[in-house]
Amino acid sequence: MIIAAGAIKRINVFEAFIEGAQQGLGTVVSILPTLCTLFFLIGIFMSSGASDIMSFAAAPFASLIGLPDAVIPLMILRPLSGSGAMAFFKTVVENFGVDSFTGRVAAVMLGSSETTMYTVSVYYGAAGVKKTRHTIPCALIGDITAFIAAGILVRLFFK
Amino acid sequence: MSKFFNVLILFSVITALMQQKAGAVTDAVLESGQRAIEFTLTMGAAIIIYSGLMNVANRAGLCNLLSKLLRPVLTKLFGPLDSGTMTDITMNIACNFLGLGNAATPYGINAVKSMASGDTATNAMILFVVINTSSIQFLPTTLAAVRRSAGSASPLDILPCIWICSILSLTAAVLSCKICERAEKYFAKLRITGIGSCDHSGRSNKADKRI
Repeated sequence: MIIAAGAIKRINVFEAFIEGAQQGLGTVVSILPTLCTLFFLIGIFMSSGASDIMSFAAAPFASLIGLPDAVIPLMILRPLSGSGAMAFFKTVVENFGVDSFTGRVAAVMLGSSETTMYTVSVYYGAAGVKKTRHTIPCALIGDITAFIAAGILVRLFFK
Repeated sequence: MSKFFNVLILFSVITALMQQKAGAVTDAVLESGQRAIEFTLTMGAAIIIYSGLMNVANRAGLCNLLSKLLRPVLTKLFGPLDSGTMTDITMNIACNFLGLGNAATPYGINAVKSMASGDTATNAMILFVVINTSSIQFLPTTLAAVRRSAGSASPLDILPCIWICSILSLTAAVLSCKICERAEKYFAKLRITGIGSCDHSGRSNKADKRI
């Protein structure tokens, strides 16, 4: 459709495409170091057991707002790794059933949040921003809101 | 960001030592580089292709049309921006909404790049990134597919929940952004005029250095 629009407007589609792809390549190269660093961080965090400790510590707070214990690791995984969170969602679904309360809460959490750390790294990495100021606290506030709301809303919608 | 990084690494290393998982951590570190490269290759290919397509769409004037429609809302949120940046922001949000994450990324990167000045994030940049980190997807296709394959009776029955949740999280994120902006401005004013006590100026310095 886009190509057709380009052809109708009589622009040089081939050249424009190559020019854009060239810029895209530059972008990819410029975010590679940031991504490497992020994967390094996530690798250490997951393998050291630090994520397990954090989910253990978060358990009392989660039960206070009515979130099932099984979805807590998802809250910690989600901002860091999209594929990790999806893999964990699959295990939750297998253990509790896809249409169970736990399964639904996990799905809503997954659907209404984003891989925050990855997004921040990619955008700021490309723009060469080092001082991120209040970006991460604000983004995490958004994620936490989504997680809390997920528990409450699923309770309201599916009794 | 660097503080966040340091704290996480330190915490992880300590727990690894306590639980004697040093071997696993070393493996994970070596593996992480490889995974980053693999990830970049798959995502990078999509970015390059979409960047090409996007350039064609730009030349054809398709994006300008859409950004004109959304201009009033965006100007209110971000303040005055030049039209190129506005177009990128519009297309990024539109692609995200439609669930075309890979198409949204190059637009987003362009927008952030054009808003950048030096190595410090501006208010508009922070707002934009925060909007991007709180998902605003209309139809989470991957999630629906996974639920369907897991045998859900109706994989899309959680959509209303997800929408409300997304809107709440987006509102919370944008509001906290605006509050941070205000607070920073307030403390900066106190420092300049000298009305603030030592306690106040000390606190505002801390706020500046955070993250």
